[in-house]
Amino acid sequence: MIQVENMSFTYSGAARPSLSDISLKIAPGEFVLLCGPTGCGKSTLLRMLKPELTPAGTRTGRVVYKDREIGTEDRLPEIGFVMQMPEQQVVTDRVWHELAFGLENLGVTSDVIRRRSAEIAAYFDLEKSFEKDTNALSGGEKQQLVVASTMIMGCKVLLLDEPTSQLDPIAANRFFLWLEQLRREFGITIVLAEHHLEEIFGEADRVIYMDNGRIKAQGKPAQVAHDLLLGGDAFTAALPTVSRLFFDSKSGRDPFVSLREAKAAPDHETLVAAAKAKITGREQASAPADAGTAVSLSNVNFGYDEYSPAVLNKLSLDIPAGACTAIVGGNGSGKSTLLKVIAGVVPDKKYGAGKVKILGETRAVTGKKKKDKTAGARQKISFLMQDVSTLFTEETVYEEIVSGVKEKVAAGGEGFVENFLRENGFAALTDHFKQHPYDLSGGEQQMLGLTKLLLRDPQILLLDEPTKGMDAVAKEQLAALIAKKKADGMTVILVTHDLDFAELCADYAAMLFRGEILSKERADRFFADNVFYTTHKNRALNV
Amino acid sequence: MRVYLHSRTWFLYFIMVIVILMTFWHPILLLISLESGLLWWRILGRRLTAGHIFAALAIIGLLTVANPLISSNGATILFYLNGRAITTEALAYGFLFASVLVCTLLWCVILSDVMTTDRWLNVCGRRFWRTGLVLTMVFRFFPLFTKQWQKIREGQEALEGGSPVGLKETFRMTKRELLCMLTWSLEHGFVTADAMLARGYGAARRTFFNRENYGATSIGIALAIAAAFAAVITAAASGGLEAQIYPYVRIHMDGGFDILGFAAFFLLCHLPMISYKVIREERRMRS
Amino acid sequence: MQNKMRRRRHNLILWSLAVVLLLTSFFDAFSSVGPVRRVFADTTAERTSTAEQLLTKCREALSWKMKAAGVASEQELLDAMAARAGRSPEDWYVLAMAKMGLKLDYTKYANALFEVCKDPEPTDVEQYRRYLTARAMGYEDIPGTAPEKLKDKGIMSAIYRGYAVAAGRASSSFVYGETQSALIALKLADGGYALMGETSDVDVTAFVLQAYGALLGAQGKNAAGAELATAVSDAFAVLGKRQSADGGYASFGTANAESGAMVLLALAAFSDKDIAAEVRNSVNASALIAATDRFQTAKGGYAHALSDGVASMENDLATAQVMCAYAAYASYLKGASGRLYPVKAAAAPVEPTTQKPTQKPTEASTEETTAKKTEASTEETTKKGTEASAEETTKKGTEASAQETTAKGTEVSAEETTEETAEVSTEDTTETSTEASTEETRESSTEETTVLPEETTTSTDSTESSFAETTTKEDSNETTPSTPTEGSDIEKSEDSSSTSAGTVRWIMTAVVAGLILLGLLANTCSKRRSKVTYVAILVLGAAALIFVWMSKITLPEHATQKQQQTYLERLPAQGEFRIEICIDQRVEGEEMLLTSRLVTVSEDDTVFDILQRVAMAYGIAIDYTKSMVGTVYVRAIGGHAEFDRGAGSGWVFLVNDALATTDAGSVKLSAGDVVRWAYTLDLGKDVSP
Repeated sequence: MIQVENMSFTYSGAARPSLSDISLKIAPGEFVLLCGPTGCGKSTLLRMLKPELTPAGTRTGRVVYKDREIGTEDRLPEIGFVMQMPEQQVVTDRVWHELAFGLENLGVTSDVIRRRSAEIAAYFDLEKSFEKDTNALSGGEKQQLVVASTMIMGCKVLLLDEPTSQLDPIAANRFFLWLEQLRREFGITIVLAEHHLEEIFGEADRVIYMDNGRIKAQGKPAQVAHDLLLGGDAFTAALPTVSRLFFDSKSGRDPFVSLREAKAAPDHETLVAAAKAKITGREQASAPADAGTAVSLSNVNFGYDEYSPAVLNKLSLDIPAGACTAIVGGNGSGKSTLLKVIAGVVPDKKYGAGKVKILGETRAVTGKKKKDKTAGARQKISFLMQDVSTLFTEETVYEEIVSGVKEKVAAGGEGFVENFLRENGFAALTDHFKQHPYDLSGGEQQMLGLTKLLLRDPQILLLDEPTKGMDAVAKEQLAALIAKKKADGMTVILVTHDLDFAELCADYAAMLFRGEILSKERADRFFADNVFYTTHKNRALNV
Repeated sequence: MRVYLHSRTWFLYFIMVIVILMTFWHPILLLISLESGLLWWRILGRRLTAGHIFAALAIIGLLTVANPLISSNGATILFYLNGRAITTEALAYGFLFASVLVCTLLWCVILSDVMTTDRWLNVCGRRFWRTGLVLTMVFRFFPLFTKQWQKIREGQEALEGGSPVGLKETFRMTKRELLCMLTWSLEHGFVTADAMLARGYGAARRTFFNRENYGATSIGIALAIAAAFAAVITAAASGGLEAQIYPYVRIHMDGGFDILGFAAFFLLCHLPMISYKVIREERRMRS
Repeated sequence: MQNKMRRRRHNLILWSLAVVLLLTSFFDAFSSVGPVRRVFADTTAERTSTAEQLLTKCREALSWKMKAAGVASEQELLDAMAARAGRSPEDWYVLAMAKMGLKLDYTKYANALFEVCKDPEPTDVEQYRRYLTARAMGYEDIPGTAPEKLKDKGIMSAIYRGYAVAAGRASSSFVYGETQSALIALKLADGGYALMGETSDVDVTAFVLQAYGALLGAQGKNAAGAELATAVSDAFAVLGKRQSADGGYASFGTANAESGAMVLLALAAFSDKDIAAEVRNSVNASALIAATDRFQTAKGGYAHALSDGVASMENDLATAQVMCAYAAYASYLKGASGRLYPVKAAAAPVEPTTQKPTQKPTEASTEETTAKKTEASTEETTKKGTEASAEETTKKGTEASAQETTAKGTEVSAEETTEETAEVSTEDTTETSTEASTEETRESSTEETTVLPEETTTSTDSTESSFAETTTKEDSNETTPSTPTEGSDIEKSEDSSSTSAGTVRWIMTAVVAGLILLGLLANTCSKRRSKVTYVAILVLGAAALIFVWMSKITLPEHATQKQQQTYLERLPAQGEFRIEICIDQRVEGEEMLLTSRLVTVSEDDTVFDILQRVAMAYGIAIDYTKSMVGTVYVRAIGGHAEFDRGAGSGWVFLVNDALATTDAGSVKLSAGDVVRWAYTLDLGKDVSP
């Protein structure tokens, strides 16, 4: 259906080509998964396939869609394109209008639009929210709406550029399931660029692995996984847990790409035993030492207004110092609110009661915390919020890093920032000093945000969904950083949906449910004891 | 979608009422508009609190007192304040101005309640689709903008470990937030533009998804509104509805044209309420 | 929960604050009502008792009069006196009764007075006197009374003009200034006043002082100016010097009751606020009262003079005047107005700068006054004093002067006497008037003298006493017609002049307080209430209150435009004033806002200054913008604003019928210029002649 021949592309002003010598063929109804490390060119490749969105630059080679070469001036509504940001992609303020938007653009008459939107609403179960304000939808719903309003235009090919990077893992999963259903029922062609491969890897008809603007491997998922695992690339960390866990290069067998496959294997139990033996040694080593309590919450009640139910409900929690505590829980369980209460950034006039004790200092739940102005006072808490881009106020990455800590940077002398970045494993940022923070990839933005936080030398680090938009490599770097900071005596509180990451770096894990802490244990035990709400590794190892 | 009253009828209704209200500063017209405005207020399920009344009285009182301080126009001098004549007419003008303001505000609240974004789109229609599109995007963007600002503020506070202390720092913080918002808006704009392009914006001549039909009621009520408006204008043109403030306050109340004007305006204000279905529709929309 | 409690407590504090604020403002508003506060402040036991003693003496004198007239009650006396309404002692009695606060039915007397008013050719003094009487009776205006300008030239008419102007006869503040400066111009070298000659006379000085008191009361201390204050203290100094060792006063060498009474009235004419205590104390009031008491006879009446140190023969005029003096002084002691005639507050405070022109150039103003007088007198002098003065003078002659004929010297020549009699009717030659005008005066006076030869002879018996008498006579004639209500009327108008501005202030305070309360309530009830808003409202409210209390508030003279209009129409429209200003309303169905009016200006006055002053004086509101460099744009006059009648409509002005090309703030005027303000409908094209 789509054919790309010997295509190279260089962004205008860029020194190196972003894509070089790409050739691929996509058959109708095929589900192609594009993967590769951040900056490998998968987004650029997707944009090449959608003429309306082709960026400025020099292109060689050609793209053929349905036997017709397409230039940048073409308009192809049959090719749908869905981007990362759910918020920004919604154009209008009502669901029905969002659905109608594409058709209006195509000049379809009102009667047809009425019928189509009714159809789509019925099919995607949007009838209830048909009249709703689009701002009232959640991120996952917004992405679904975007896909639905792309589908309504009768598209044959759906190009998705990291559509779940801004969603939590559960919403992402749901989105993929839904996409799968769509493919099954309509047979549309899907090209998906994604770095979170855990669930989707095994579902793809074909996986294309890209690196540095070139296609490094393509083929069936298992085949690509095999090649990658054999090659020992850093990117293997992105592969599904089952692939990595049970892979044995000597067996000559293709790695599993889904849990289903692994469970179906005849020698499943032996594999599990072998995998367990491989990891126990590592886990035993990480028994944290008791270093007192950093944050202590007692009987905290909190609500955003008088009438709605409390977000936090008689919550009491002690967080040990010098360790990493992960707080996990479903959507709306109050995780982010809990962090805000600890950080003291809840807006005034909120309804709350109880005490928060931080490093021995007690304060009330409500009311904003004033900045500590005492000279040389070490900042107690730094908080990295979910949407890290809210931290960026400067024009370039370098300015962003030094803003607010100019004295410290000046005192550190030449090369202080570079050294600091290297020490913390953020060396990648040094290449982007001259760029605008918004031009960084999701993972790099998180790095930048963390750098800003760490430069303020906090005693307690609060992280809210730090792995959002990060690829596997970045996640591992972050985990390493947390381990290092922990060793320096920093207390880390982590709120995440990403249980694998939580298990990777947390010493303790607490489950928040409807504003209450249900259990708090050593992280390894916590995830081992949980049956449903647990890591992919534990699911794989559960016999 | 089947609607009882077309958006354009609604729009016509509000425009006519507000235009009359603001053109003829006539106490009795004001009273009529106040009465019907409060009726709408109830129908739309709003509560009239003491706060509203106090605020309205405060506005009226303040403007009544303030006007003579800036204008000495008028024939009847009450007294001199620092050599400036305080006249009855200036007081009356201030009072009337404030009353018109309060009534207009009341009607604007009702207008914003009734004229939902969908209705605005329908008012713009196919001919003014660009305006309609901009409107709908603005309606979407504003809540996003405020939400984002809140997030940025929280983010900055979280980064710095508390809210800024002192005026200077608060100012600098606000400046940074504004810059941040600017960048974010631009970024948002780029992505939205891409999303629009991706969904075929500019691919063909755009149509307008019209969800409403002109029913007999819509047309009938629209005609009645136009007729009532014409009657009010006729009454005014024939010398009725005259409330003179300068050089001295005088409300001419002589002859049938005044009665015609009042009756027409009363009818105009209450027209959509005539049908219970309209009221039910509004209530259902808000429930 | 905690939050809610705290908020409720917070509200409670604000509520109580608001209530306290409101209560205090109400309390203050009530306590500020003029007389109440003044009585509280001033009345000491001593003053009250003296006042009571004086009133007792008044009643004794009244009972003597009743016995003499053969009537049983005050009402009967009043009705009996109605037959001679508008004449010498009777009017004084009525004034005294009114000032004593007797509650009587004055209708009969009033009607009789109005009959007298029909006199076709009255003198200035008569006209003024009738006007004053009418005012005192509660009548605002009587057709045919009270000339706007003087036609006679005499200090007495100037004095009476002062009374009348203060009583509400003023058409503008200029009239005050003019009247005042005319009187001040008559001041002699020693600070006193006289009918003629360079020797100041006690009675005349006391009369002038009463006029000053009235003018001061009407305009207020600030508006009256320093010149008046100096004149007042000078005059009191003269009276102090002339007070005898026993405390009494003598006129033409004879100690008499009337002179003392006049001085007492002069003292009573000033409130304690009006003059400094030193000025007042230059006359020993208690000694004066004691001296006057010695003229009381055993029957209760008062004698004109003592024969062998004993008061034996009661004199009607003396009794009436002493009663008036005692009643007025008692009233003063009690803290009420001691003025014999009603006083009405001035319309607009004429700012010092604008006031100057009328007062500063003494020459000019005196010239004007004389000019006015001459003009008027040529027309009217001849009419005057034929019937009325003939009667009066004969009366005088018989009653009072008969006794003293012997005492009076032969020093005064016949010529002088003729002049004096002329002066009795109006004229005053002591002015620095031009020769021409003096000549005129003389002519007119000779005319009169020829008309009334009898009178002249009778009254010339003794020049000195006749001075005192004639003046008193005149006074009595002019003032007597006042009706019973007078006493209360005086107080009322007096109070209203000082309190109504205060009342306005308190009303404004109450309004601001109400607004503050409303604002606080609105904020309390609002969902988005905030402490900042509370504080802001309170601060702004406090600022507004301070503004109200720092502001100068004055009331316009005339309540309604209509009254002003009718009043203005009767003013003469021609004369020899320098500048004529005419606010012209050239719009269908609208009346002229102001017909041709004559105004005195100084050299620095611009067209706008004149407009502002005239507008103030006549109660016409103007709306204008003044730029930093002094250019002025007049937006509205009298409620007619620019653009009211089309895009080209608005106010323009013409100087000598030429449409002005610059703004009103930069056009200066010279003598004889005619300024016309006109409402144009077409950018001035339609107003040029």
